[in-house]
Order: sequence, then structure tokens, then C-alpha cells
Amino acid sequence: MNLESLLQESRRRSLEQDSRRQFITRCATGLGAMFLASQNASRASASSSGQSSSNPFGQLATHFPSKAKRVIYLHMIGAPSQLELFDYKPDLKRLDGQPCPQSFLEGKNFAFIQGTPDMLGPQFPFKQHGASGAWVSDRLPHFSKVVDDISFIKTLQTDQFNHGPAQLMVHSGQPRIGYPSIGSWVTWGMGTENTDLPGFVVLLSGGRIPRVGKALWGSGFLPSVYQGVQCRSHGDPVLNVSNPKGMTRDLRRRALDTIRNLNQQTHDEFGDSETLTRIAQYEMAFRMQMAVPDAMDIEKEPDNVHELYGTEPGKESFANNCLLARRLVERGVRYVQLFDWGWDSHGAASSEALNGGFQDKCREVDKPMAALITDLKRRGLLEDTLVVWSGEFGRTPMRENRGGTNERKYVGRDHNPGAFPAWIAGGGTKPGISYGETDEVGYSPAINPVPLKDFHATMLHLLGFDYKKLSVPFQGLDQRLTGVKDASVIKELIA
Amino acid sequence: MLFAAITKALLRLTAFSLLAQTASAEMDFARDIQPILNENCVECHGGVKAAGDVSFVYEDRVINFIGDSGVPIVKPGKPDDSELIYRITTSDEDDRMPPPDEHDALTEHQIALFKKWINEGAEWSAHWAFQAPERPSIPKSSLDKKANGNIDRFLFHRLEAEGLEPSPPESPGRLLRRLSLALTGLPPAHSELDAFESAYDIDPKQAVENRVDDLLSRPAFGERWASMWLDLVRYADSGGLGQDQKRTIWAYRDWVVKAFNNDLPFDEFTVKQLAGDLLPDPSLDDLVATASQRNTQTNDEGGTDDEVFRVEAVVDRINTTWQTWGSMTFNCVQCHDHPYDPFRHEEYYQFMTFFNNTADSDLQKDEPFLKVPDNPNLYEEATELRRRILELKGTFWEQGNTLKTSTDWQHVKGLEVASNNSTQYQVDDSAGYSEFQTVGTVEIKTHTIITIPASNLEDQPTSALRLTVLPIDPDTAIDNPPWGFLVDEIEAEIVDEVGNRMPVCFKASAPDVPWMPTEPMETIPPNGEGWGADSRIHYARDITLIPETPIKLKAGERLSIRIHCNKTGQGSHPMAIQRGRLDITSDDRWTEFVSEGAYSYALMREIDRLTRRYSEIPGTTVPIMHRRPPQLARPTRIFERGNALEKGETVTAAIPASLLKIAPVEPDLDRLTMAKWWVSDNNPLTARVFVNRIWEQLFGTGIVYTLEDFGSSGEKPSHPDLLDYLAMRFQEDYNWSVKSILREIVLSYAFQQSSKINPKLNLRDADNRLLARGPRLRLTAEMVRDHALAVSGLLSTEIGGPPVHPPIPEDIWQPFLSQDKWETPDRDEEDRYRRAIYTYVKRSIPYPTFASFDAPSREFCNPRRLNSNTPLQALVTLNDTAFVECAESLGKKLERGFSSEPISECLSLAYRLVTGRNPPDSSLQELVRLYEETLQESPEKASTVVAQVLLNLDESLTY
Repeated sequence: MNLESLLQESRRRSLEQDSRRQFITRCATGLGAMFLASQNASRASASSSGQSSSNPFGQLATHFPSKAKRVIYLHMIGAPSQLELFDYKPDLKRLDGQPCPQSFLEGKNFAFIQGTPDMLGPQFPFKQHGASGAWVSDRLPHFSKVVDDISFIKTLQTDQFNHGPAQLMVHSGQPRIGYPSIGSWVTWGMGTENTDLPGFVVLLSGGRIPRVGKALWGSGFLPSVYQGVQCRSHGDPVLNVSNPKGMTRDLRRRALDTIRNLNQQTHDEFGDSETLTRIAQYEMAFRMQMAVPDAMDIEKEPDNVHELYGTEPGKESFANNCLLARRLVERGVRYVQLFDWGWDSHGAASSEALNGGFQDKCREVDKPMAALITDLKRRGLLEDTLVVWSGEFGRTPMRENRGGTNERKYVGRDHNPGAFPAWIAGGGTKPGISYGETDEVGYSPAINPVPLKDFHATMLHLLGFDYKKLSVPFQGLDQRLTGVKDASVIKELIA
Repeated sequence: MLFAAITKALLRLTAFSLLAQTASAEMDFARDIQPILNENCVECHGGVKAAGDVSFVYEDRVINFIGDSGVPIVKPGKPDDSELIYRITTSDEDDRMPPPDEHDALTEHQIALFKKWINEGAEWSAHWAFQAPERPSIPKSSLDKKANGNIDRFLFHRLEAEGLEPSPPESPGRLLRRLSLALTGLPPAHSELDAFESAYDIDPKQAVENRVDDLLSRPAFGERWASMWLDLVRYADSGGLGQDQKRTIWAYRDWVVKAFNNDLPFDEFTVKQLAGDLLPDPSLDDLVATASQRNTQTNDEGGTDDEVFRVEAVVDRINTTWQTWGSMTFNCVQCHDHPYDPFRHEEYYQFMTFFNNTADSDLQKDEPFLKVPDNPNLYEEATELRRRILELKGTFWEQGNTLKTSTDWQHVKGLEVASNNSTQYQVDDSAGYSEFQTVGTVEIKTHTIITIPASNLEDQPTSALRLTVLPIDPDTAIDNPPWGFLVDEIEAEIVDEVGNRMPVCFKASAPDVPWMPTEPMETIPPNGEGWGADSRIHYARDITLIPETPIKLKAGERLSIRIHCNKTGQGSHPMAIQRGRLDITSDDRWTEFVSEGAYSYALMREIDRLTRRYSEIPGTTVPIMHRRPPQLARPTRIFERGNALEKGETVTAAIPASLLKIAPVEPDLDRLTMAKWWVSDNNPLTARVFVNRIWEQLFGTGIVYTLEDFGSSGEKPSHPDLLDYLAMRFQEDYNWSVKSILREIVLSYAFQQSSKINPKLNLRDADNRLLARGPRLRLTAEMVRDHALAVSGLLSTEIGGPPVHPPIPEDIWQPFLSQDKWETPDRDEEDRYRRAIYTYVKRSIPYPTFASFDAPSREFCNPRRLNSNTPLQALVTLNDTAFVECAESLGKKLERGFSSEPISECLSLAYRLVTGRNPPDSSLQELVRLYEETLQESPEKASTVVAQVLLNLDESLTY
């Protein structure tokens, strides 16, 4: 494997000079020690008051043992319609075309609905699948076959009805920019298993980037090293990871040797441990230059894998990213965040209509989602990898009448923060169940609402964290992913 | 991968215990008691929760306060009669505090402290930051012979007490590099190093003073220090949320650079940014300064609620102001009383009143904005033109308004109201006149078509019509305003019995308020900017329309008025008229009002002429603060638990009482008095906060470590007297001159000593808070770029102007809106090599180099950058195009040198250029060997490779 040959290369070179070998030894212990010291320091300062004495943090151990070691989060940017995917509402079909009852509208904010809209029945037929009998619409034929490995949540709730703030809510627990994302919290709390790759990787399907951009994988008030690193399936897989034109790997190695030796001289004179860290980071950068392109190269995957996922090497696609996600978690990446796009089915144009683009989107994600579950399972990775799928809110059972008109060619639904679905799989979750029920039209939760903070607390729990203890004091508050209020872990979802 | 790279900032625990003060004989509440209360008690007896009404945040809820048990919580002088002592000492588990099931008991030592404190009279002193600074006496120590001013005397006094000594002086070359980078963000040139080193040989003190004065006078000074300020005021060239649209506001960035360069006193700097628009007769510069407040995010996502994001912006202004000038976590008070500091929930909303009445409201184009000339020489002319225009508009409005109020208006009856689309109106005549309002769903782009029957208009000629627009429910609109309306054209015609139409021409319109983001006169031409309540309607609004000649209808004729409302709120909400009525008059003074020869007519013409003149001056725009007229003032109400949807009592403007006690405020509170209050003589926060920020920039750590929190949960100053000394010097002796206080600090011995770290000292004071050595800091994100450009000879020295687009890695630039292009100038264009501060700051796509080197993306006030040290940084300075070009350029310089000088000589000089010193022999040999080996294999790359090594040295990246 490439990584091994790299390490050998590096070792061979360092053996060339005695002084260099000495350096490596010193550097390793020095860095190791520093690393632990800083970890402990950050942990100590991270624990909220009162917990520090009674609950000392282990080095990279979580608060309690857990099954999930890694996360793959699939976010369908734009908010897919639950009523056309997982939330089967026969009653809504009967109400199709009738004016929306006023009781649904009172006290509600809508992005685009004006006045009194009409109800809109489900646009596609549903069937029950698998031994668990999960309802799935006919838009997801492949995914329907893996439902017994999945647990559905039908009643997620948010308090944001616009995309930007709602997406931030999903990933940082706050509707504002400037808070750490889940991936940052998790890599901060657990570290990572492979130091040659970023611990928190972000993959975008192409098309539009999410509107708040990097803020969705930002580290907020945690040190910036915990922010997600966007990897790309074409061009440089990580920014600047390729050498400039004409710079061979040998030439680079020689330059780095000189940098290292001169920096070592600097350290001998000035005694700043940051200099040692910098030496180590330059070496790590060198290793990343091999490890990242290797991990991101899906071309070598066998044909049957490409067939399973529907991947086409070199393209930017959700399918490629699903396969990449598997390759990354396989290599020990802690948190892989996928963003797909184009799910905002308002019906304002063909591309974003339930009777238009929505169907293409379903086709694009159906096979790869199912493949990811199948592939992780057959490799034994599913049991310790938590896979999460969601949007940022749900959609209304009413037909959108943007601008107050009702005569439209395309069919769509407006934003509905009241209830939206997610599914989770693997990582110690209980498969084959459905948690929470919405009312007869899929508008609001009828049983077991799940505010996002409970969802976050449950994710953290699956990873071995007590959501209350994974906190850091900032601006006078013990900041947590779940916010200041108490949250509940949903025990029913845990195996 | 990234784990080894935890910031130094998190390695500070040992240092902190080192800094703990030794307890003196006399008890001090803030020092000895408050920390115990904060750690053990305030969770239940604090600002958020005050169980049994006991709150350790407020004196009157503790001292002689009779609790549930009927005994005073604390009775001064009488520990045995104090409930507190009973509670912390009792063995009765039901009574003990803190409760045994949640907390450990207080230690013997802590209990002893409480008893001693009560015995001594239970003096309740305010937290240090809430006491006005006093001029401390200058301490003495045996180290003073090395002192270069009073700053050193404070530091040495402490060093002596700790048994430490300062380090030897820094070498002159490295010292010059430190001074240059610290003050201007740029490294010294060869010639400067030479000149400084020889001057230093003769008279070190004089050499340093001369050079410091020179550095302070360079334009680069303002560019370096502006970065710090722009982090605080969250400057960006885009709106943030939603589509993160481009925002033209760089004139403000240039104002900040200029303010630092001109050494604008910090008190004026403050007042102009918070309330420049309210200064008497403000200059354009005063108005540009207010853009400081307009750096809040806007949300232009379709379907968003402008009012929600207007309120968010107001909230951000409050939080940013308290953070920037006060280092207070006032944001806590948005939802409840402050858990540790004496700020009450309602005080947040009293403070909100200062910001709640500006005209901006999350509008698409960032209205209101100001046009400023590109050419600074035209500022004066433009200021004068603007002043004149506003004055004339004011006069015109007054004339119209006087006329309006003295006119005898007649309500119009029997109206028919229809629309051009599915929007439906119903007309109610029950009050004796017609009032119309929408029913059901209102469509976008609604034109309200009002037909007036002749019965109203046939007796007398109508000289003016007044349109009144109301909120659907006027009672609730004041506090919960619905979407407003925006009229972008009004047409009228007379229709006769057989349907012939004859247009009626309006000559002018007289609005209800003098000036708002949009122009009332714009209601007359088609597709105008319009008049209305944008984006919300709180009150009834009216506009008077004046026809050129009075309208008189014959029997059977009708007057049809078509009011176009084509605009939408955030792309989805119809900005339509939802309720209204019409009045008419035959008062011929209105006809006179618009007749040629009338004063008002002349005014209109003159306003028109001057406005055209103003628009012809080439310039840019900048969003500014503008106060809404008093008749449209928004009331401010408390948000219950911080929730904007749950409004409580109405409040009036006030400064929090705990600070008002120390620093009183002028009467007639408005934003201007609030601004002045921050820089008033007794304000205990502002000067301390700012000198602490400067200190952190220069030494890497603040005297108060928590730059973001001067409250009682933040860290205490390591050198309280030094902090107060600096604050007094800054505020009083130097009259808020930033350059003067900076000068005094960098002239201190402490700043100029060697930064070599000896292991023993490192164990005791890893963060270097005692300053037994000089600072050793990583270059800031901006410096990383500017330094590389400067040493490689590429740096452009052009100052100011629109943001620039240096090379950016491929695929990074994928803005939500594709028209926001990143077009990098070619290699022969200067704009490719501008200083970092001029790079386009897009919040959703931060420039990758800066993000890698820990620059914040400026969504909110960023009081402190956390430095990291990561492999991604190595990839930037090794492989990023901008840095590769620097290496190539430096390589070419080297090659030119190699042709005339020995290789080792050239490399030695280059090493000095990037580090400020000559290379150690072994390092020079390594460089020579690298060059020679590379020359064998890839001759064309040899000099670039060596240059790249030089640019990536630890010493190049630190100073």
C-alpha cells in the first residue's frame, strides 16, 4: 500500500543522517508529550464547572463505551418532501385540492405560501417493504430493499423555516453562523484514527454549494483545526495537496529535509515548542500528499462496486461521494459529511418540482444510499459506523401558491419546520423500526416529537458522549451542541 | 492528523496558577469571595436562577437580606448570625449548601475566608472591571536600571517577586523585524536592516525611537491595525446569510485604515462609528464611519422574514458594541439576567432602544446607503451638496406638511376598489366614507385600482388627493408589524360614460415623513424606487398627490387611480396595499404649491438639480445608519426569555444601572449620548479593553487573558496596576491617541528583549505572561501573505479601493450566485499582489489561505483569534499559487545575485531578509548544499526551491 511505502521512504531518508534520526526520536516524544498535555488542557477547560473534579476526561476515550466509532452524514440540501418518500398519508390523498383548513395556518410562518392554499395529496404510490414493513414510496426502489437495516424518525422538529438557518441548526444546533458543527465536536472529542487524513471530511455532490457554505462544517469557537476539510473528486482532492508544476516528489522531499534541519537549528537556539510542531506538520503534510489522493481515487475499485453504487470515476456526484465515504471511514476518518443539493421542491420551476426535478434527485440518490448500507454491512463496517440521512426541515401538506396564485404547471410544497424525517443506520442503532408519528396529513408530530437537540444528544450518545459533558465555556456559557436547554437521548433508537 | 496542533492558547493552565495572587491580610470581596460564589453558588443563586430570592450577583440580595429562614443571609460583623455561614457549615444534609447531592462541601479554607470576610464587615466591592481605573503608584524594583519607562517598572516589580529576571536585549536585526511586523505588518528591507544596525551601534535607544516614529508614520501602519478592528466589527464584503450577496462597503474599511493612519483619537473613533449620523452637521466621513454598524449580516434568502433579520442585526449591534468596547458578555442578558455580572434582563432591551430606530431593515440592496466620491478631494464638495439637498428636502417637506395639516380634507365615499390580479378588495362605507381592505390571499404585483365616482368630485375642482395606507390591524401593528407596501408608480385617468380615458398628470407628491430609504417623488414615474413602508408597516402612512391642474369631473365621469405595487418582500411577500382610504380637497393652495414661481416649486427644481450633480460625482456607495423620523419610531419591548415573538413591557433607553453608578450619562439619551458614554471620563471599561487588545496584538496574550470577557467569570488581569496605568495613559495623558500608547509599549524593554525561551522559564510561564522574555508570535493570516509578497519583491503598495481577487485555488469559488465572479488579475497587474486586507471577504467562501491561518470569517464580532499550527498551513505556503509565485520571484532575485556574488553570500542575505538575522553556519551550509544538489538535477528549479525553503522556515513564519 502507498502509505506503507511512503513511511519506508521517509524512514530510509531519515536514517541517512544520524542527526536526523535523533531528531525524529526527539520530535516524536516531544510531540507526543505535547499532544497529550494539550489534550488534557483542552479537556480540563472544556468540562463545565463542577464536573472537572468528579469527571476527568480520558485521553481520546469517550465518556462511556459505545458501538459507533465513525459517522457518515448524508444531508439532502433543500429539504426533501417526507410526503413523497417515507411518510405515507392516505388521508392527505382524500383532501387533495381542497382549501387548507384555517387551523393549519394560524400562527404559522411560511416562506412562500400566501393566504389560503390548497391541500396537496402524495404524488407517488407507497408500499410496505422488508420484514419491518417500512412504508417507502415507489421513487426509491433500491433503498426499499435495505429498510430492515434502517431506523426511521418521522417527527424531527426545527424552529427555522429558511434554508440557511435551518441547515445551521441541523449541523451546529444553532440557527446562526459561528458555532461548531457536529463533525468538529466529534473530532475534538474523539480525535481520529488516521493522522494522514483529515479527521472530518466534507464531500459535495457538485451543483450549488450550500448557501451558508463553510459555516456548515466550521469549528466555531473550537480551535480551527477541527473544522471540516472539503475533499473533491476532481481537481486537487484537498486544497493545495498537489505540488506545483515541475516540483517532483523527490525535489519536495529534499526541500522538506532542509526546512526540517533549519527549523531544528531554530529550535535549538530559540527553544519554542511550536517550532517542533511546525516540523511535524510539514512532515504530516508530506504524507497527506500521498494518502489523500490515494483515498480519493475510486478508479481502482472493482467493477462490481461501481455497479453497486452507480459510480463514474472523475465525476462530481452523490454516488461517487457515497463510495468515497465508505473508503474514508475504512481508512479511519472520523466524520464524513455529504451534501447533496437540489431538494427544494417548491414547484416554482421544473427543476424543483415534485413532478419534475424531484424525481431525478430520487434516482440519483436511491442506488448509492442503498449501496452504501449494503457495502458497509458486508465489510463489517456498519456495526461501528453511524449513517445518518436528513434534510433541514420538512415540506407542507399544502400546495405552494407562491405569490398568491394557484394556477401553476409545477407541483410543489413549501417549507415545514414542524415535522421532518431522518433515518439512521448502523453504529449501535436499533434497525427496522420507525419512531414518532405525524398527524393524518404529515404536518405536525402526533406522537413523539423529536426536537433537533434530542436528535443531536442521541447521535452523541451513540458515539459514547454524554451530551451535557461535551461542552466548552465560551462567552459566559457552557456551550454544547444541544444548546443551553436539556435534551433527551431517544433510547428507543438504540439497540 | 490535526491533533498535534492544539493551540498554545489551550496550554495555559500551569501559567494561570502561577499568576494567582497571594492573599493579603485584608479581605477583598472580588478577589477572595466572588470566585467561590461563582464556582459554587450562582448556578442556583445567581442571575439566571435566584432560589429563595437570594442572588450573589447583587449586594442587596445578600447583605442584610432576610431569606426564607427569617435570618439575614449575611450580617456584617456577625458570622454566627449569618444564614450563609450556617448553611455552609451545617452537618444537616437538608440544609447544607451547596446541596450535598450535587456539590462537594466548601473547603475549610473557603469557609474560613467567608467568616473572615463577614467579621471584617462584609464589604461588597464591585468586580475590578466595574471600578473606574485609578492611577497606580509606580513600583520600584532592583531590576529598574534596565527599565525603559514605567511599563517595565510594573513588569519588573512582578518578576522580582517571582525571583525572575528579564532576558537580554534582542539582536538589532531581529528587533527591527519585530518592530516592523508588529507596527506595519511588513518586514524590513535589507537597506533598513543595514541602516538600523549601524544606528543601533551608535545609540540603541535613539535608533529604536527614530525607527518606531518612522514606522508609525507609514501608511502600512493603518493597514496592519485595521485588521484587528475589522475582526471586531465583523467587516466583510458580503451579506452573510441567504445568498451571501456582494455588499459594497469597502469605503468603511478604508475609513478605518485612514483613521489609524491619521491617529484619529479613539474617543472620536468610537463616537463616529456608533453615532456619526447623529453628530451635528455630519461630514461624509462621519457617515461612512457608521457603516461599522452596518456590517451585520443580512438575509436575502427568498421567503425570509425581513423583520426577523432586522431584529437579529439589532441584537448583533448590541452584542458587538458590548464586546468591542466593553469586553462584556452582555449577550447573556438577551434571555435572562446575567448569571455572574450585574446586568438585568430588561437592561438589554433598554439598551436595544438605542439601535432599534434606524431605517435599515434587512433590505435587498442594503438601504439606506450613501454615495461617497472615489476621489477624496471631492469629499468636501459632496458633503456640502448632501447637506444642502437634505436641508432643501426638509424645507420642502415642511412646506407640504404645514399645508397638509391646515387643509380641510374630505373623506371620499362610494369608492370601488379592484385589482389587476386575483387579489380582492372589499369596501366598507359604514363609517360614512369608504375604507377598503383586502380579503383572502393577496397576490404579488398587485395594482390597486381605485375608482372615484363623480359624486365626490363634481361640485368643486380637486386640488389634491391624499392616500392613506393602514396596516390591516392598526392596534397590533405597532408591536408586531406586518409586511408593508411599496408604491412604485401611480397613474390616474378620467373615464367618461362611454369609456374614453383621459390621463391626469400628477406634478408632485408630498409624503408624511421627510426622508426614508426610498424617495416619495419616485411614486410618479413608472418603475420608480417608490414610497411606502419597507419592509414593515407599524403606523398609518399617507402621501398627498397634487395634480398639475385641479380635477373636475362631469356627471357620469369617474376618476380611476391605479397604484402599482410591483415589489416583493424577499421575493415572496406582496408589498401591496392591504387597507386604505382616500381624502380630497379643493384647497387651491395645493395648486399654488406646484405652480412655477412658487417657492416649493423652486425647491423641487433645486433638489432635482443638486441631486443630479451629486449623482454625477464618480463614487461608490456605503450602507450607513440613519434614524427613522420620530413619528415612525419603533417602540422597544422586552423579549420574554429572549424570544422576539413573545413581547413584554415597553422600555425606554437606558445604560445598565451597575455601570451608570460609576459612569453617569448625559440626559436626553439617544444613540449619540450612548456613544459618548463609552468614552466618558469615568467609563471603567473602554480604555482598559482597548489597551488590553493592543497588548495582546503585541505580546500574544492580553494582560487580561480573556480578551472577550472582563466580567467576573473571565480571568483577572495578570498585572492589574499595569492595565490601569496603560488605560490612564491612553485615556488621559495621550487623549486617546492610539499611536502614542503603542509607541510607549513598543519602546518598553519588555517588548525589546530576546524571545529565546529557556526550558526552566518555560516550565514556569509557558504563556510568557510575566514577560521575562520577548514575544515570539506566528505571523497573522494577513502577515503570512504580506510578508511573502514583500520579501519576494511583489507587494503592491497601493492603498484602499474596491476589494481585490488574488489567485485562489481552483474549484473554491462556487458562490451561490454565479454573477459574483472571482476574476484574478494577470501576473503583470498590481492588483494581483495587494496586501491581504484588500482581499474580497466573502463570508460563505473565506479566502482559503486566511482561513487556514486562523482568520475568522467575520460573521460576528471576533474578539480573539486562536492560533493553530497545521499541515494544511504547510500545504498553503508550499503549494498555493500565490506563494509559488513569491518563491519564483524570490528565486529570480537570488539568481540575479548569484551572477555577481558568491552563492553563500547571496543565500545569507536572503536568509537575513526573511528572518532578520544572519544564518547560523550549519543552516547556511544546508542551504548551499540544497541549491547545489538541486542545480545538478533540475537546474531551472534550483533557485525557486531554495526560495521556497526560505519562505517556509519557522523563523520566516514567526516574529
